[in-house]
Amino acid sequence: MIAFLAAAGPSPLWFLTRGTGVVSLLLLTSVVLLGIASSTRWQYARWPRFLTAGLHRNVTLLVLTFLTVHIATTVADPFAPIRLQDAVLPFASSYRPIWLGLGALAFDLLLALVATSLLRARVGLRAWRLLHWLAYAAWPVALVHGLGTGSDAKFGWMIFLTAVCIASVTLAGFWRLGQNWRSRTPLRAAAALGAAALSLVIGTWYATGPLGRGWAARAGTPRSLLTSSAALASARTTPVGLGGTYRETGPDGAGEVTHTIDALAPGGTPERLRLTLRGRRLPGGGVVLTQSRVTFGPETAPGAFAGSIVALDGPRLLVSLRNRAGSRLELLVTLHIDRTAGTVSGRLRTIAAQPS
Amino acid sequence: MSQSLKVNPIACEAHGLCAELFPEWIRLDDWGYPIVNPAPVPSRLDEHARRAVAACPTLALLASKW
Amino acid sequence: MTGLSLLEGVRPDGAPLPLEEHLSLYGPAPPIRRGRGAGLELIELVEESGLRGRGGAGFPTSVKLRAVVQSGRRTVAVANGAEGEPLSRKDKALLRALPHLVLDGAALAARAVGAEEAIVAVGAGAVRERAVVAAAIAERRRSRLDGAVLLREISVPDAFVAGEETALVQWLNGGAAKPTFTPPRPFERGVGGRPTLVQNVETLAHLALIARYGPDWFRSFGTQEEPGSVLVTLAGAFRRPGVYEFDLGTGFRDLISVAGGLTGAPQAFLVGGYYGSWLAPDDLLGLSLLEADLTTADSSLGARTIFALPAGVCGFVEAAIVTRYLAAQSAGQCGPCVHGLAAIARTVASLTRGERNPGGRERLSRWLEEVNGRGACRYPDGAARFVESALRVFSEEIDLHLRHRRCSGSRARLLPAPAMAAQASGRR
Repeated sequence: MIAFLAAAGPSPLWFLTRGTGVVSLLLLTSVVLLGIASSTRWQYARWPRFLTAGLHRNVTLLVLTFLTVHIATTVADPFAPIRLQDAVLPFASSYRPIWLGLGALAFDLLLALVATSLLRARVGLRAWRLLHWLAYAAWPVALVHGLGTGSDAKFGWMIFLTAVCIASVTLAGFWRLGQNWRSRTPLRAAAALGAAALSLVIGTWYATGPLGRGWAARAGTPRSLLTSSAALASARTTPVGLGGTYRETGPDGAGEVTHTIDALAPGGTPERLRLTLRGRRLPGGGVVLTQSRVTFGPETAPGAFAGSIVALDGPRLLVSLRNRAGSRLELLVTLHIDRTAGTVSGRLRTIAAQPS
Repeated sequence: MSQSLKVNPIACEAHGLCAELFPEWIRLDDWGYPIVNPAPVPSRLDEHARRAVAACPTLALLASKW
Repeated sequence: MTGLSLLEGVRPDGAPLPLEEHLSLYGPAPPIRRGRGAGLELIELVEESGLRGRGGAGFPTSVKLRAVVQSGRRTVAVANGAEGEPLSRKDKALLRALPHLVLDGAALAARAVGAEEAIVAVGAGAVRERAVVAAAIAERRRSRLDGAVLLREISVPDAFVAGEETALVQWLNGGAAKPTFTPPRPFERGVGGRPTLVQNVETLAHLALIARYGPDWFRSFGTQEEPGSVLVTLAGAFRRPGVYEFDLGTGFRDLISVAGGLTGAPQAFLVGGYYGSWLAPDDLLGLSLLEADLTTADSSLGARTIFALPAGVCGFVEAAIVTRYLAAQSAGQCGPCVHGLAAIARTVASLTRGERNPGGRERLSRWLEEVNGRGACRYPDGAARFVESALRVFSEEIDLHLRHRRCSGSRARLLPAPAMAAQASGRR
């Protein structure tokens, strides 16, 4: 399954990594909230204590499931050089070592928390309790990992979700500290202060780091992956010739036809352009486009940039692409298709490039 | 093999999950501490007993098998 | 050889009996021979004698000895002289007057169970007794009396529960003087993780005499089922209160006359200490000093104290003060005990003030019932027994309080509540 996805282009794996990562973070946040509810003995008429405890346990196991997919898709994705051991050995990877390493650290902590909890009777209550405090460390580490490594840090919805997660855990933490505040007040006050400070630090780092310019480079993305965007952006402002194959399949059950174009732009670093268009054929020729997918990149990483066709005008296509690091690329592609020979020729020019 | 349940009253912190999960055998006193039926648990209720023992946050509910 | 009973060797001036006099009076201590065989011989003697613990539980001593020795591992022996019960003075009196008898017993018991160490635990407030014990240990060391057994004196907090077996062991292990959850019991795992023998100091004194004079001599006192003699603390309205030695089976009327009779018609008796029970005079006077007899009256030998409440004193208020003391002396580890006893004490206090509380008596009965067996130790059970018997025996008095908000007697505060007094204002 993973191999198939990799061959189809890295995008499915990349989507899965991002999706499972975000879901894991949201679920982990709810696990922390449930844990706080458990320790504060929160209870409601129709919500018994065992429900909180049971959910806390089962949602954690669900997080582990999502994380397994998250890690597997990341390792399988050929885009970045992330190996399986990087998932458990912190700071040893060559891709954004610090921020990825935090993910490994969070994962290690989570494994320790789950193992000791499942074996609580064997481990003994004192040891279990002591270790479980690390949960308050695992959660922010996971959050920062997501913001530092993830490709979605800049999006508005991610900012919103992050704010909600930080706010809910911080407020729940204050509430827990406030219960029975008379006991060990200095310790509780210090912890509250620490929690508030940590929230501020993370927020500030988020604003100046991932949300700032050039984060990919600052975060430690390998140069080979970075230069592809910069190099590509500058290299193709003058038009370059294209040559390749053309294939048409269909019409399918919905009456749509699929055109697949696979072309190479020669040069010092040859780059491959692949287009997949789906649409209805017009009586006078041409196609009404319903779906398109475009990938563009060097032979070693043909899916480095991915996107779709945003405009179609006869033989000319305007293509909008993004790469993993968040850089944007717009290409103007002119194509001449020889249906009978199954070949295609044309030209490619970079219209706009915006590094991340 | 039947089991009977017993509370370690020093470890017990009155979380009350045991009484929620096994109300047929365990009830709570005026301060939330469990009053456990000391008789052997009938086998049809064994699963509830097992779950109650596993759920105790302080491992205070103990099952003795004989 | 005709043997001396326990207190026969007490000097008239009450000073501790020094080692030489002790040996010449009671006779030489039996030689402590090496080897497991020697230990088992002693255990058999104890078994034949039928000696039971004199610390409150009344457990057969030979059974305890066997339980510890059968582990085969190195063991520890502890002589429990903590005596946290405020009414009881017998252990302190014994330690003060006949330290060597207790130490004989401790060393013998240690040898019997294969222990190389015998620890004598005495309450921190019993300063004189501790000094006497320490001096006696030094005396014995000089004459190398106990061979390989090392005797040590350790002070223990003065709290009520500090003398409980598991609390004592936890204290000796460096923890708090509070009871621990069992299993494991000390005979399985105690001081330093080793099987530990814990015996009351009086029990050990009897053991020392049994080793000298034999089980038949011991059985010449007391009854067939409950042989031997016991030390009893008499307090309250006796002409001559104090610590006495009685054969088990002595009738209570005889007991009272030995103490010079009572100073007036008694209102009630508290038998067995603060974890014992109140008895109406008619219920007690026909009985004998026997666990079996007292059980028929819903009572027990307990801490072996007998307190006589004189007429003219409000017994209910006395009981209420002790109830509050008992609630405060809870180790505080178990919810049912802490909350239950506190609620019981509050309700009893409000009854003394004549406050009518709808459902209060029912709740009180329920709490008294529910607190039984739900602590890590038997402390709340004893307190509940005390309160229940007070409600029974002083029911007329309670009625008077509720109906007329009046006391029939004075508030003399005869029953001691030590820690509380110290906390309150320092006045006694």
